[in-house]
Amino acid sequence: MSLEQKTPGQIQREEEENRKKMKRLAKGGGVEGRLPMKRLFRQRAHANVLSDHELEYPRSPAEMDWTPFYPDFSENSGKKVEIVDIGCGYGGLTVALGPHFPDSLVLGMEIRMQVTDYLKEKIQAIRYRAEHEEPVTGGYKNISVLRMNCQKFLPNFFEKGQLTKMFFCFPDPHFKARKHKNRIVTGTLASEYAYFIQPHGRLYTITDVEELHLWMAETLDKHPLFRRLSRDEEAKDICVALMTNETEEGKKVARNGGKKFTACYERLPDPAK
Amino acid sequence: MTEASSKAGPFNHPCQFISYLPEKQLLVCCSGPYLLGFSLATGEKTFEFCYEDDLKQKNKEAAAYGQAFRQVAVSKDESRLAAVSEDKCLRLWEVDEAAKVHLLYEKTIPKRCADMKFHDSGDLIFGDKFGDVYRINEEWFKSMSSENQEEKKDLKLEPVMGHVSILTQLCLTKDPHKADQEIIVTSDRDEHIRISRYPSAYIIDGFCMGHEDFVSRISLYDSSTLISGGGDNHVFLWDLKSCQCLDAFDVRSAFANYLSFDKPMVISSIIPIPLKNLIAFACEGVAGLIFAAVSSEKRLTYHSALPLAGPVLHAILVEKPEERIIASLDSSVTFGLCFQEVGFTNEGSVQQLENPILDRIEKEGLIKTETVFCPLAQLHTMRKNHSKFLKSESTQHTKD
Repeated sequence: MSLEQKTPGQIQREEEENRKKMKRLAKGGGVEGRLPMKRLFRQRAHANVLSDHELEYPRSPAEMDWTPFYPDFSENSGKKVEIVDIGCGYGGLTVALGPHFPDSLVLGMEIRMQVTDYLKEKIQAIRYRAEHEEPVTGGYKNISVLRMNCQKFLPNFFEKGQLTKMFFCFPDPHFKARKHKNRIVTGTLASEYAYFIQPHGRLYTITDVEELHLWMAETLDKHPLFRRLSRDEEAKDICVALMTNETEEGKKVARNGGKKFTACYERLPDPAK
Repeated sequence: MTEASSKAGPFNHPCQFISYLPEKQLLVCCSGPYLLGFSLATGEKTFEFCYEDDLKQKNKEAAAYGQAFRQVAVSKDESRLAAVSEDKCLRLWEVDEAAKVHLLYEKTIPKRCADMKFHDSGDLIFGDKFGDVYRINEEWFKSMSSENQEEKKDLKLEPVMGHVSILTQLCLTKDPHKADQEIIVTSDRDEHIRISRYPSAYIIDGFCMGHEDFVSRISLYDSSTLISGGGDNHVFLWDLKSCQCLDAFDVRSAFANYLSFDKPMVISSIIPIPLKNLIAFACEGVAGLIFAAVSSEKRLTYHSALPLAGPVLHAILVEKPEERIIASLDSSVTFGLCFQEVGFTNEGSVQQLENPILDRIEKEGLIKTETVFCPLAQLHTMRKNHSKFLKSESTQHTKD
């Protein structure tokens, strides 16, 4: 098939990839608590969500085997992923959530391959450190990362009402009006998120782009299945503080003296039939 | 399968989509850029509409996609007919008592339409290739055609629901949990079938998960059973209440005799025939129909295969006076044969039927042409270049 022929650009990219990979291997990220080096995993900040990435996903949630992701939670424990960090990037929040919710499985999800690889190695490293150097509640055994496209394939991984918390931290702003459909929080996707979040579960958004914040808040405010949390409620929720201060992007914004906007929601129960 | 060969001289242009209005006994055919209506009682042509002239003048984009009506939808009372063409133009006609049509409105929609259905209330529900589903009514058409810019702004379309994928089909039906409520079932290119409430489609009731390639067709077998087919080897029967798979039927091996060695298969028509406990399937580019029997426990078994003279473009069920299937064939390879009727014998087998009325329509009514105006097979273009599924050993589907 002609589709399999690679363009020079593709070949070049692949070579670059391989070079980076070799370098990473030489540094031994993830092995015996050595942290991976972020600069070896850089990738452009955007990914087209509408194109077919070579993703792997199960046909249905029942077919998903989570043991490689959470090796210390045996299948028999019946635990399911409850907290998801959508577009987790380098995983600042995912890692921070681990010790705060030691009894829940936390999953970071990211579409960019290198970034996912970085976080994988980082989790390996911090698990090792937690075991051999300084103990941490839960030992980071309850966090993991998955490469996937959350706008398309959430139904392949999660069941109705399985999640208690969903985080959308510093998403791609997609400024152009015709790209608004690509945004991660849209009215139609919010319905899908509502399906996965259990009643009284929470959805969190944070961004440094005011325009995007207003747009997300407007979208979710008018969605019948979400109720905006008051500032008071936000202040009481440890997760809001975590996502404001612990995400890699959040730290960067703070360094540059930028503003951060949060909007958090409670999932309301479905109206009766 | 019939070898592709074009006969010298004009032949009947094939009908890429057909629809039947039982009360008016009206067969509506989309034949390239023509919309044709025939009485199935007499074979007489009741109307002919062509948008070709418009097309040459003002729409370059359409030329690239070919000139064709893609689909028609008929309101429940058969008084309204909507058709959408490749140039994204949505037209609404009134169908009068004499089965003639009068164009009421035409309006270009922002994205290409994937599927549309009339709701019982008279609203038109359509899904587009961007994945969104919209609801419009005649008021919308009216105000959109008015000159008042202010009014137009007020009527900016908001999707009632949406997929982040190419939408392929939508179905409206009664809620299997509660008869006075309704649901909307939508399918997309990313293997998903979603069940949402209607009109409050922001409440999702569930997903039917199991397909390994795009879902091209969904259809209701009865009020609580859904059939789905697409680019993978199996068609599925789903319980709408629980979203659980009732049975998966290996339709590829049923079609094996018709398919060249490794040709990928795409389901292009699903025809439920509940009164005969049968479901018929047509596959893109394949000259025949496959019938599967449905048991009372909702299991699917192979029933029969019926070869036809040419690739089936579209097939529909006509219920009165007795069940029969009208299949529209690719006449560019059948020497002009456009329709084939399929009936059921008392013994429960299927057979081709002769129908002088369809013969008359073919002889007198159809558009004569020397080339086919529009691409006739397009569903296979949705296939992805890869398909990798994570599987754990314990949960392999059992299909036998």
